[in-house]
Amino acid sequence: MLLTSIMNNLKTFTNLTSTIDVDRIEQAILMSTLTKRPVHIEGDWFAWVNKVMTKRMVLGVILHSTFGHSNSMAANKVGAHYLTVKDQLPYKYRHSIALNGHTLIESISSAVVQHTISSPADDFVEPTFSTDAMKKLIIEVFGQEYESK
Amino acid sequence: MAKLIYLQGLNDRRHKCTELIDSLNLDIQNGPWIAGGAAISLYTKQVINDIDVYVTNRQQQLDLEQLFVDKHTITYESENALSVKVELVKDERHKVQLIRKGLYKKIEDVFETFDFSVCQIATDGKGNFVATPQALADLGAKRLRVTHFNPDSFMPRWAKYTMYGFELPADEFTDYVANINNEQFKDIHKFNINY
Repeated sequence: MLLTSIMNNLKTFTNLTSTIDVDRIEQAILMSTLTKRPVHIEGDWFAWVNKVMTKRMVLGVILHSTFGHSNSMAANKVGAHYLTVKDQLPYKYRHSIALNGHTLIESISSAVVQHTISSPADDFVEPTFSTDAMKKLIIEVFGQEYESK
Repeated sequence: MAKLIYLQGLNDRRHKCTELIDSLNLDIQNGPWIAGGAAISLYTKQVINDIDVYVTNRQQQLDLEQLFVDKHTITYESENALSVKVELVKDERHKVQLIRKGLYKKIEDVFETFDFSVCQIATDGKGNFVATPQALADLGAKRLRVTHFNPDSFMPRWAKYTMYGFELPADEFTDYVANINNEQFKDIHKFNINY
């Protein structure tokens, strides 16, 4: 009882710093789960299936999922940036801060790919994307954001 | 090219390894210079990846090549560049690359070869910088602006700078991508430290 109360207080406290609306996040997660594409939440934030990430992390995941590697220095910069902005998210959507940038992207990437390959009847099931699919996805996110509104 | 801006005595943006910097004999007015990514990292106080050194004449090139061969470990050599691993202090390594593909009479000639405006910055590693006004403005705004478009290298270069936090406006990005065919797009796998 006491532990639950402490945990609830802790969660309330850690959510105080978040600025992103939970409803927007959940709406984007739902839409992304259906479409398998990254969906814009607001500002720099995107949902990709059940993960919430920055735009730079989306690019890291695309590169990692497609070619199985990325520049670890760039990935670590992405991870370092994530640490500075993660408090904008409600507690339950944050990723572990124990991960370095490369591992963080690797971990999200495998979760996204795992989800897409386990989902039947969609057009984005490959664990590694084709060049066409990747081009389309990159343009969607970086050229024309895929809005959840 | 617009008039260059010289920023002198930014002592908090010097390269930490003075021994290395002194050995390179850099000169902000007359070269050689550190330009591009390493100069960006020093100016923005970020971790340096590799150091590209540009020379103005054959003698500077020969002197640096001699220094690299005598004092450091050669890791890569081609007609375009000579790369060395420098370890002057134990467990503190630097990757330095002497650019061989041209002799640059003035720093504007180096800047002309760069694809993004933010790369148009150079330093002597001692807190002195020279840059185009556009580079300083875009570094401050984290804005990616293409100065020379090369369809073969655009995607990996864009990916690298996007992951570093620079942003190319969506409409400009879409226009550039429209000029890249799928074969060139596949080269995104070359996204590595060489870009």
